[in-house]
Amino acid sequence: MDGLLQSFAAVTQPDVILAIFIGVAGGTVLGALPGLTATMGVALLVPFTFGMDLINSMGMLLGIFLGAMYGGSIPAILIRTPGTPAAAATAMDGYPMGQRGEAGRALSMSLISSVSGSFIGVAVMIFLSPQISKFALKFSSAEFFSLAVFGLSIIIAISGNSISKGLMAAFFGLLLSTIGSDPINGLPRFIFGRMELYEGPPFIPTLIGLFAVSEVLAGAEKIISAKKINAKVDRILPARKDFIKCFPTIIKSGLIGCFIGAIPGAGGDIAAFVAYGEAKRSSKTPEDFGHGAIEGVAAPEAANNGCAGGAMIPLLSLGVPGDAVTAILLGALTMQGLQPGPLMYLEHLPDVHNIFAAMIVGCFCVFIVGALGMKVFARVISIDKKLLLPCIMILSLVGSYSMRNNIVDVYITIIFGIIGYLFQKYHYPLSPILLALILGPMAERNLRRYLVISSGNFDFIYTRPICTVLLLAAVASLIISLLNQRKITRNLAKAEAEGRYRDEFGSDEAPR
Amino acid sequence: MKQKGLRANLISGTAAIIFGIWVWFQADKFPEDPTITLNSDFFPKVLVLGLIAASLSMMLIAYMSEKGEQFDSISLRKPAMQRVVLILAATMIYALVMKPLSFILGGMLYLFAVTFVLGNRKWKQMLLVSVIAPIVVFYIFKNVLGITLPMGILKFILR
Repeated sequence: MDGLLQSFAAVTQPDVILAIFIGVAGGTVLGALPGLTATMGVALLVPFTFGMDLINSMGMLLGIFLGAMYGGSIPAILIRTPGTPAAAATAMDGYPMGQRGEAGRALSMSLISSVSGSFIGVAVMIFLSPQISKFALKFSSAEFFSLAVFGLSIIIAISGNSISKGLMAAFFGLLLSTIGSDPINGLPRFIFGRMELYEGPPFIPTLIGLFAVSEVLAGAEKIISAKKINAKVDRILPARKDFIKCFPTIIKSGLIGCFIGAIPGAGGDIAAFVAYGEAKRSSKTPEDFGHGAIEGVAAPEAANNGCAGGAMIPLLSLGVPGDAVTAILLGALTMQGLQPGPLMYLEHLPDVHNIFAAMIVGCFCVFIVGALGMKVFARVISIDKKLLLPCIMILSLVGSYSMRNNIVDVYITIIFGIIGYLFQKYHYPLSPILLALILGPMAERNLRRYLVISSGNFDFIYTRPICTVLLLAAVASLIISLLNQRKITRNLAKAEAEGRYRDEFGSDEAPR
Repeated sequence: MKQKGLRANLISGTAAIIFGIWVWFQADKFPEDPTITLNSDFFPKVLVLGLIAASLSMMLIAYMSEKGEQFDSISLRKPAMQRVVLILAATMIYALVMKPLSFILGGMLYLFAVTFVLGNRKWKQMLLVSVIAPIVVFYIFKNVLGITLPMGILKFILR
């Protein structure tokens, strides 16, 4: 606790608060622009934080994360287009509220729920992650390999509509992660004489290509005119009656978001929908959900911001990212000379406390930025994409170049931009590639280490309980996802058949 | 509809298998370390087997599926696709000329060209953004972030 209080003194310096503030404001703008995600924003800005101190760098990046999670709700409520995937559930009740003239009410509840959810997530992170890191100190190579497999299986299970395509994306990402030097004997692999690849594919340029450049290309394909906003944004704080009504939902949803965020691979979009479902289930008036229920805005917003704190738990305590954004933060921390994981608490505890303090300050900044800038952010949605997209492309190329002042990184960004675009066209998810790039080296290094020690014996699968549990959970997540997909396909087919029967015979009786 | 989806999946699945086989042959060329049992080619080869298995499974599921996936075809006859290709070409040219020409000059030409390709015809707005944005970005990078972007033929003015 003393360390955390000392960190507050460091974090509340003017330059750090400015960095966090800029991050939150930038993140909110990014989140408010449909088509731009928190992942893209953090990926674009990481290179620019390279020259900053750790605390300024992390403060800005965490600010973007928190800001984008809140910002996504603005277009969701005003134009029924979520700014980020995590705000998709917010549109279900936020937009109907806007349609009946209550946009201000919805936006103010979204702000308070986001801030509250962030605080809940950060509080749980501060108390839980040290405990998990102590437990993780008992992990050996076999456990870390099993953890990497578990993390990958979750992201495969929840990405896209096809498990096999998710697996293909993950294997592709794992193969990319083998480029560079062998982690055991240092011999070069797949570098084709290019020494720039000796340390592996440059992470940030690859990321910018996959998540930013590919989105620009996809956006250029589907270019549409920006919508004009006519809704009145007239209040900052929700009415006392609304806040009291939604308070239990906010607390519950913040905790749901935090715990879902703590599962490696699970992100804000899942947290938001799970919280929305739970709020509807436990509501006295579930029939109002989907038609402008205020709890339908509070629940997903508290959850997706709670997820931000939750996603930091496995990152800091295990070195395994909780979602795509924390995967990038892992890269940013490594660039700053820190290796997230259980040893970070032993060797860099002041830095860990600085991160905690920066997140708490970030939560306050989300409130201030949201309150002051709500009307401005509402207008940001109307920015012409025809001007915005080329500017994002320039920033992407510049961001890649600035990592090593090497034009080869720009070419790599463009190549991965093409790959990312083609992946999206053929319905392959991108998140497994990102996580595979992070977890691949960890999985290979630890597996080969264990096999050397055990003389090629794979007995860890059944002799080490933590490994057994993690590997079984990995298999279970894939099977459950496969069964769910089959169920959805069957239900869709049945609904179509019923529709066809009605069309042919003019009857509402369901076919047998 | 099903045929289009099936064809797209077969193309991507086949491409993945060909890629996997190529990786396998590349991995065979890795030097061996006689002091260790599992060499550098072990993990990549395991992954290739996984990729090929997943690809075959995806193609089989796509073949047996009653209702195919909906795909937007990649056809250069579509204006949308032409936009994407033009923007990609412009981006590659910009990457090639960034160093010799300079970030600012290349950026101005790039921004103007791409906003034009995207359909913007508000000339004053296009000129304003194309000229001001690269200068502002260059200034922020140099004086705030301490990163000097390529100066190319403008190095005598910008230094």
